[in-house]
Amino acid sequence: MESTSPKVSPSKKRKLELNDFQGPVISENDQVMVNYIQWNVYANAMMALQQHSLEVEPTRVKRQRMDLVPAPQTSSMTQITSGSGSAAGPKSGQITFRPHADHASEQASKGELESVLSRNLRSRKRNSVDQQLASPEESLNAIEDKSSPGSPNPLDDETAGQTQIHHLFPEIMLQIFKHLDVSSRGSASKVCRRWRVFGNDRSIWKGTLPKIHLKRYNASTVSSLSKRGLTDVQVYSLKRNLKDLFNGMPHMTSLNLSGCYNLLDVTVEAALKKDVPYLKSLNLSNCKEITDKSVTMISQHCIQLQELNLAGCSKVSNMGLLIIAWSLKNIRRLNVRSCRAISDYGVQYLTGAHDKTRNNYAQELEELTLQDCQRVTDDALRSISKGLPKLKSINLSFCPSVTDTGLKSFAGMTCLETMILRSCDNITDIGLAYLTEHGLNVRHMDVSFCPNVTDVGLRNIALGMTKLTQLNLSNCPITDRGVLKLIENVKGLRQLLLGQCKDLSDKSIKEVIEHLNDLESIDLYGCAKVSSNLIEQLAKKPKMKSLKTTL
Amino acid sequence: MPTIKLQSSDGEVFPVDVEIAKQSVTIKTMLDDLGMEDEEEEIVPLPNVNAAILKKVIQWATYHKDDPPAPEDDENKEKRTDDITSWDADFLKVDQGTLFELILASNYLDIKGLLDVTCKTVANMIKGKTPEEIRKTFNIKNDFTPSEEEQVRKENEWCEEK
Repeated sequence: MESTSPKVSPSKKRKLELNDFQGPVISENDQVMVNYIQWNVYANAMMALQQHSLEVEPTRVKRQRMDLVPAPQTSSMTQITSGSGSAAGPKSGQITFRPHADHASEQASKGELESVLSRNLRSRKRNSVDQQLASPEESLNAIEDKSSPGSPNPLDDETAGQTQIHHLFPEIMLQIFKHLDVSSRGSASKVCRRWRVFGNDRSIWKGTLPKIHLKRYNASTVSSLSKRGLTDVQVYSLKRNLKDLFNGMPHMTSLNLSGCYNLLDVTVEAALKKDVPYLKSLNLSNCKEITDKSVTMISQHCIQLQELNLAGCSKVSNMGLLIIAWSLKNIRRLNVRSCRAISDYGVQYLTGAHDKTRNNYAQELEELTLQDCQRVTDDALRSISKGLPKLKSINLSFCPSVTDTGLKSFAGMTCLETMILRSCDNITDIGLAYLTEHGLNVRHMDVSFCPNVTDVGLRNIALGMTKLTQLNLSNCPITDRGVLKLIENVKGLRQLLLGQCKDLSDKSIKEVIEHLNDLESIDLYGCAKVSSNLIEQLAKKPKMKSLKTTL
Repeated sequence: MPTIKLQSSDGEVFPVDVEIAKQSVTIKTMLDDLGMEDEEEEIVPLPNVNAAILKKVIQWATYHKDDPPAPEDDENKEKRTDDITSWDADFLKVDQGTLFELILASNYLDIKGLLDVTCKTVANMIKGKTPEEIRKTFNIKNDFTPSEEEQVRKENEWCEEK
C-alpha cells in the first residue's frame, strides 16, 4: 500500500499556495525534520485510508476548513513557510491552511480534496491539533461566528438533521444574494442579523444603479448606499435636499438627475459647497430651470468631470460653455441638445478659437452633441475641425444651418468615428462628396431624413467610408443603384436602416443577403417592393438579431 | 474511456468517466497535479459528499458533459435567474435539504455550472417574497430587536424604489 504513495508528487500549484503564506521561514535543519514528520504522517494517512477503518467525519462540515499536508519530498520543499506562527508549529507535522473566504469559494474547495488524507488523520489527532487551528485568519467566516447565537439551531426543531440554509457558507450566500434583484436583496437583508451582514457586503452590489427619490428622504438611505460601496446614483425626484446626497456620498462617481425638473440653481449651489473630487459623470438632462450659474458651480467643484449632459437645459447659454472650456479640463462627453441659446460663439469657446494662448479649451472632448442647437452654423463646424483633435463623435441632427460648406471642413478629420446628421435639410450630395474626398474612419453614419441625400451621396459614402458598421439612410430618396454601390464597397455593415426607402426592391435585398455576412440589424419598414420570401431569408442570416418591417 | 472511482462519505464507490468527473475542478486539479490519471485503481474519497448527493452530482455532470465552458462572469451585470433549463429545473425539484447539500457538494467539488444553477434556484425561492415569507420558507428565526428591525427597514427602503 505504501508503495503507491511515493508516486504522488507534490503539485506545483500547491507549492505556490504554500509559498504565498506569510510566516517565519523554517531553517533548513528544521525543514528536514518537518519533511520527515510530514512524510510519516502522510504515509500513515494513506494506509489508514486504504483500510477504510477510520471514523468518517460528518458529511456536513459546518465551517470550511482545510489542512494541507505537503507530500513527502525533501529536495524541492526547502522553501516551505509555515502558516502564521504558532498556528502550525513545525513539530506538529502539519502545515495548517485556513482559507480566507474572500468571496472565492473556488479557492476554498481546491485544497480540500487533497487534504482529505489529513482530515481523516485529524480525527485521530484532534485533541492535539484542533486547538491550534483557531487561526486569526478569518474574514467572512467570522460572520458566522458573530451572528450564530441568532441563527436557529437545527437541533431545536423537527427538521433537525436536514441541511438548512444556515449551513451554507457565507461566500455561497453572497453568490445567492448576487442573483437577487435590488428589491429582493432589500427584503433578504431584513430577514435576520446574519442575512443583514450579507446584504451589506459590497461585493453583491457591484454594478447596481440605485434609483432613489430624495423627495421621500430618510437619512439611512444615503448611509446605506455609502456603506454598500455604491457610487453611481440615479435620482428620480428631489426637494431642496440634494446636499444630503453629496454630503453622505463623498465618493460618488456618477449622478443622474435626469428629469428632476424642479432642480434650481440654489439647490445646486447649496449642494456644491465643497469639492466633489470623484464625480466623473453628471446627467442634468431636462433640468430645465438650471442656468449658467449651476454650470459655474459644477465647473468649480467637480473638476474631474468627464461627462456632462445638459440636454434640454434651455437656459444654459454660450457663457456656460465658456466656463466649461476653462474649468473642466477632463471633459470628454458633452451634450447640449436643444440648448437653443447656444450659438457658434459657445462652440468656439469649447474649441479654443478665441483663446490665443490655446490653454483653455475642451482639449479632451471626444463626444459632442449639438442636436437641435439651431443657431449653430458652418462656422462652429470649422472651429471644431481645427480645435478638437480628439473628437470621435459629433451629433448635428436638426441643425438646419449646417450646410455642405460645414461638412467640407470635416474632411480629413480622421479621428471621427460617429457622425449623426439626422434631418439636416441643407446637407446635399455635394457636401458628402467634399467630406469623403480623402476617406474617413467613420464607423457609424446617420443621414436619415436628409431629403437631399441621394444615390450620388450614397456612392460617396460607399467610397469614402469603407469602415462603416452602422448606416442609417431612413427616409432618404435612394434607390437600388446606391445600395448596390454601398454593398460593393462596405462589407462590414452590422446595422443597416432603410426605413421608408420606398424605391428599394428585391435587387438590393438579394445583395444584402449575399454579401453582408456580419449584419445583425436591418430596418425595412415601408419598403413595400421587397418580397416576403426575401425577408424570411434575411431572418435566417446567422448573426441577425433585429429585423424590422413594421413600425 | 478511462474511469475513476469516487467514494462517498458513507463508503459507496461510484465508477465515473474521467471526462465527466473532471467537471469538478477539484478532481481535475488533483488528477492533473498528482498524476493519478494512469492509476485506474485509485479510489478518490469524497468525505464531504454522501452517496445520495454524489449520485445526483454524477447524474448532473453526465447530462452536462458536453456543455461549452461557462463564460466569464461579468461582475457589473445583473445576474439572470430565469435562464435555468427545463432539465435542470426538473433535476432540482428536490427538498430543501437536498438542494443545500447539492450546493455544498458543488462548492466543495468546484463545479461552477452546478453551483450556479443551484444558487439561482435558491435565489428564485427568495425573489419577490417579504422578509416574513422568506423566514417561513427557510425556517429562519427573526433575531432582530425592535429597534434594529426599524433601522434595517429604513436602510433598505431605497431598494423598493422602482
